[in-house]
Amino acid sequence: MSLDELLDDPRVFRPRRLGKAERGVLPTGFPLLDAHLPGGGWPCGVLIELLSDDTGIGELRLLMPALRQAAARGRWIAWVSPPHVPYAPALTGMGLDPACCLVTRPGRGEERIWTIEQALRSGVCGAVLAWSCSMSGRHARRLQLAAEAGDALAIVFQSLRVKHQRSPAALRLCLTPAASGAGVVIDLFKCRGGKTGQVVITGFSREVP
Amino acid sequence: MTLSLFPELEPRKPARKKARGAAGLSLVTASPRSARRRHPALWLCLRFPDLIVEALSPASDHPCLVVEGEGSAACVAALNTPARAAGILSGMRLSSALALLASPRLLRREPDRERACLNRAADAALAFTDRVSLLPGEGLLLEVRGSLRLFGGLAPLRRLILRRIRALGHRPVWATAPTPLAAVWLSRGEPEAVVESLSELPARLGRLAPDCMALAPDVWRNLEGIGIRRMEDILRLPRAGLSRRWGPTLQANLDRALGSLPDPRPCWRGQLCFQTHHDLPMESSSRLQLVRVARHLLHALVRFLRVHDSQVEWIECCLAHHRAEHTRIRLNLLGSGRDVDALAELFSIRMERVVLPEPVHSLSVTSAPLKAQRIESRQLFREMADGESESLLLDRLYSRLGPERVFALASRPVHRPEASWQVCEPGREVAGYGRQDRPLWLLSEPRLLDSMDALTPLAGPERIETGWWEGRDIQRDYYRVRSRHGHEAWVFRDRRDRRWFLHGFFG
Repeated sequence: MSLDELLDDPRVFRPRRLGKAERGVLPTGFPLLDAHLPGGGWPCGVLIELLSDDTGIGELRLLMPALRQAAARGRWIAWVSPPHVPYAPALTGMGLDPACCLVTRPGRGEERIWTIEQALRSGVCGAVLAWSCSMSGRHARRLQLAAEAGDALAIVFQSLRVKHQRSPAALRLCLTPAASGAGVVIDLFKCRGGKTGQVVITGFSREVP
Repeated sequence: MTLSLFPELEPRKPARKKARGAAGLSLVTASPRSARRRHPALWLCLRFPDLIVEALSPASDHPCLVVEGEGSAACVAALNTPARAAGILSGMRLSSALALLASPRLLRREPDRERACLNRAADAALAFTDRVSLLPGEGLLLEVRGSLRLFGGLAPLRRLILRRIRALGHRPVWATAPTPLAAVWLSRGEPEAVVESLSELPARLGRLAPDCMALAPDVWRNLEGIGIRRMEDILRLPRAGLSRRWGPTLQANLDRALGSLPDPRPCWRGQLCFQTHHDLPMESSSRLQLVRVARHLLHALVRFLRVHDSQVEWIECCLAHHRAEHTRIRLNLLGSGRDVDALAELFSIRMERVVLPEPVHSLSVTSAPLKAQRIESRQLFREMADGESESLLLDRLYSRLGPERVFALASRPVHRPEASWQVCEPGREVAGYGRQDRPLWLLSEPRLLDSMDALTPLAGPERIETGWWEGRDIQRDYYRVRSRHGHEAWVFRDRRDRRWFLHGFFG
């Protein structure tokens, strides 16, 4: 009997495989990135941290295919304290209906954490995008529980400064502009259940599938 | 005792002597038919011919026109006295009306306000009799026989009712008849008519013209074609022929007006509201205790709503202090608001931000007028979000952040970029237009750029020149550029002062 057959025996209890099958996964739309992520896409129901200091390098276009799928199921996309206004005609051009984008502008601190928690927990939002909320460990655990309850894609944008701080997020990525100028370098330095590494994405396709 | 087979052939028995009670007064047996014979109903019909104008409550001396319809088919639905004096008629085209009047005030018809006006008048009429019925779009029907004795007769009662209705701003046209339909017809054809008994009804109704019945146009044309000029001509027509030719409704209406058929009318019961009150055993400022007490009151509200199968738009909680003014907390409910936990949580969220000037000694909860419950069925699978949890999330966010900080987006087909998006209510489908070459982030204000040397252009100039007719004209050449650090941005050059601005980022 080989090792694989032994491990495939149903009498052997494998907790990691059990945990993977439950959560939903939204394919990223970029096969290079899908290969690194657990389940082949953005994991729903866990906290994802995107660290970036730059706007306009493609951080939203990276998420667009996943957001389109989340909105296609009839759920909303919540934007918590975005740095600028999401431009509605551009959202329509990307295939995302702006009427299902719920933009909220809470104040700093506790109010922002509360808003993210409510949006995640309600089950109404398919994805929650939050910007610059300083989270302590307790806050991060609250958000993690809320994300699990609502089974939503929970993405928090932070500054690159917090890269070396501990965080309970299951997936942490750094986004930096590519050296060639076009594209973005994604550095997955924490990826629970997947492969860490670097992925360079050069072109964001203009066509809407 | 045996019953006879042919009672009509038996010799007539003498009438039974009336039973005499202890005091020697005659006791009359009560039976419904005898009661109806002794106390026939008397209906007062109040019609508001200018309800459309009165609902919008315009100034009385300036000519006002209420317009219905769009564009070239716009016509005048109603007008007030100064406009009538200028010669305008109802139903006229708006263009002809504007040719006769210099500068009238134009208003749009609002059926909701007309309904609210009628409801208010019905509430006022409830003070005089408990059988008030609405004539939607027209007026009220009051059954006044039971109130005649209290108010001292028909004329004093009518004077009081008319004074009360006129105080609300209406100018009613009235008529009185033993049946409701006859009262309505008399108020249309012969205002201020008083008919006390059923026997004189055919004669009085006969004098009216048939258009008081508000018939369908083809029936009306038919009747005119065969020579019917007054109601007595219709009443003389044979019944079978009338129902065969124009359907059974016409004959049935005539029977109801004359009292041969019953004509029950639904009674107006007023608008239900919920109100409850609770005195605290001791004055308290503790938020926890107030939330706990409010929870009991909200539980009573939810039970009330469930019993009446209704929902409310808003709830007001009033915290009473001894010397300071009452603190009022108003919760606007988007969803059905049937869940006690959700209501209590909304209340506690609002209470966190409220500063109590003094300890509270009593708490009361009032609700908006009840509306019929609108239930949306839930989905079996959690894939699709259901309407109730959406409104719950919005309720919570509105309570804590306020309505101006929670919104959804919609696009407008306008060339100017900063005007081509707008704020809207979440979840509402608004058909929008989209462009693929637009940036995902738009700055709220274009930012002046100091130097352009580090930017490489990616997409060529796009000229946007618009708005010269509004006085806010822009003349801009937009470029998609990439900076040295790899950011893609949307910049423009103002053609008039030749400066470069940053307007958005391609996120």
